[in-house]
Amino acid sequence: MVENYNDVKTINTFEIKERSYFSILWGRFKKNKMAVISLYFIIFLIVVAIVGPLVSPYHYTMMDYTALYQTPNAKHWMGTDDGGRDLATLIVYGLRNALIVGFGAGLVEVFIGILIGAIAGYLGGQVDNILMRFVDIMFALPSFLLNLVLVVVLGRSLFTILLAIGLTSWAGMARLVRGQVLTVKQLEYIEAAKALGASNLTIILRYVIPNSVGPIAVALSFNIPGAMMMESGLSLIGLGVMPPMPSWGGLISQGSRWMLSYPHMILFPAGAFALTILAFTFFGDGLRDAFDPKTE
Amino acid sequence: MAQNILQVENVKKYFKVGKKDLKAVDGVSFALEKHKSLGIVGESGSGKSTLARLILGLIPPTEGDVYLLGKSIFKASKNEVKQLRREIQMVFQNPYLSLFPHMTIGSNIEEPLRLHNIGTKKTRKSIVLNLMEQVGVPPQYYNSFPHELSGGQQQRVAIARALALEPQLIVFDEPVSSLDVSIQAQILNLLLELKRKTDLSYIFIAHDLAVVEYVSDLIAVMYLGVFVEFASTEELLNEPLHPYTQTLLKSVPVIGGEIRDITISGEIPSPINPPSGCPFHPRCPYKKEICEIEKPILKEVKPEHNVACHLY
Repeated sequence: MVENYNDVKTINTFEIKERSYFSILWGRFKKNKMAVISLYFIIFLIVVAIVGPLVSPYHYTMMDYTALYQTPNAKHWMGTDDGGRDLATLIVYGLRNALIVGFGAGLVEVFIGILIGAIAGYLGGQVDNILMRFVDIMFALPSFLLNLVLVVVLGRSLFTILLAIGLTSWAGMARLVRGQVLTVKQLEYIEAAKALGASNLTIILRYVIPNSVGPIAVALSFNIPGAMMMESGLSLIGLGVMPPMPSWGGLISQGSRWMLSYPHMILFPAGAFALTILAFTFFGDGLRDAFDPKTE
Repeated sequence: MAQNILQVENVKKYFKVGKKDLKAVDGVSFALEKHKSLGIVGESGSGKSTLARLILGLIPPTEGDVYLLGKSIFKASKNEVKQLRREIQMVFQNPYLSLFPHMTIGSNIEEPLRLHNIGTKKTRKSIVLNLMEQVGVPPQYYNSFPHELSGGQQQRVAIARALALEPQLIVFDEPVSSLDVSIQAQILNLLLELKRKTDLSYIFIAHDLAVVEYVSDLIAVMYLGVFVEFASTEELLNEPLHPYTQTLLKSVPVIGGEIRDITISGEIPSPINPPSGCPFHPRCPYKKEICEIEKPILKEVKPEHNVACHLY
């Protein structure tokens, strides 16, 4: 009898439990340990990027000619660079810029990608044809070169760089969204929605996009590190954010010059960069598992 | 005309396949009175589902018109169409594909109310719980997702969603063909119960005559995009006139009955390349010369009994 009583109790708690789509996703995401660790690491990075500059006793413009090329010590946790600037502070500012560029460019990319992809996929026909040929052209142009041109034209601020990266990398997202919309569009529940009296706009916003969000989120989590790489690449060749504003690409290129005598100057920025990219990639893996119903 | 809830006038739907037309629905006319149920039977490819989508106004007809409560759903203004949508609903073949996968059962049933701005959040919840009780879905499924329910429960939810707007007519497009036989019976009984309790009219589409006869007042037999016979259920079962209907009835197995010869052979011809004259003549055991030349029209040979055949 006791066993029976227990059974009844579990059913009752199941009844009360409020559940959302999000809780189901989280349940699946949780199973990927590396992804969970990466998620916490990304949150940690975001906190550091916000709090770091506020609590650091140094500023990226503060030079100290009595403390050049210092290796890690109590005053300078990651040592100093060739101008006596605190490397930890530089890396935190670099992190902040990388995150702003990564998320900002991701946002621009998703916005344009969803707009173009959803319109092309949902309307189809001639509209689809024209938009997708435009996407093909965007794909064919080498994006790094296009970025250089855009940065030169728009100027070298953080905002113009993220805009340039976003503007040159949305083509893949547009294709992905279009494919998703085409798949979802012909599903029976879209017809059901029409029968219920939903307008085209409601159908796109309430049924098509929520059901395409999985692959979009996964693609985004892989594209954010892509944008960070692009920004570092631009900095590496001296077309990134304007010095003395630090950027990871700039720090790595600076560190590479002193690599043999002062290896800490390249190890710390390159290590931070690699860990961040890795975390986003693992997070993307977990996200893909979460959106895949077969995980359960 | 006034008491007819639905009037279908010579609707045709041709799909372009290459340069040829696929005549999915090739001229169907009928009227349905309030509080009546019509069953439509036909093989796969006979145009049943296309006809359902035409009645709902989900696809535009190539020719003809559909009048719901005296109003054409294809000529009405946007606002009128939204109003008409409240009066006619559809239940699809596969409930798992037709429910919104990202919404809970409760939200799924609530969705039509939300789309038409009916009630407040609170009153909508009580409407939803009432509907769930009406169709026999336990309230603890309110926060479950469609993929967590069995096929039968999913179809009940789909029916509840169709009932939410209190429509006057529901079109069921093969609602039980993807379900187990025991579950089929439950769903069919639910339909009969709904019809008894409310003044709902419905159209029930299936390929299985045994299922259709159980829930319909009238039966239409469809073949290659046209009605070949249209009569009250009793008439049709007792005295099938069209050779196709006769063979269909003979193919329904009877417990304890003798094994009968099935006189029909071959498959339904392609609607891209339909036969000349009567669409059924290549398979008809009573074929006459005229059948190959002239297409028979649906005519009333007895009260409440229409047939499209040169034999009558």
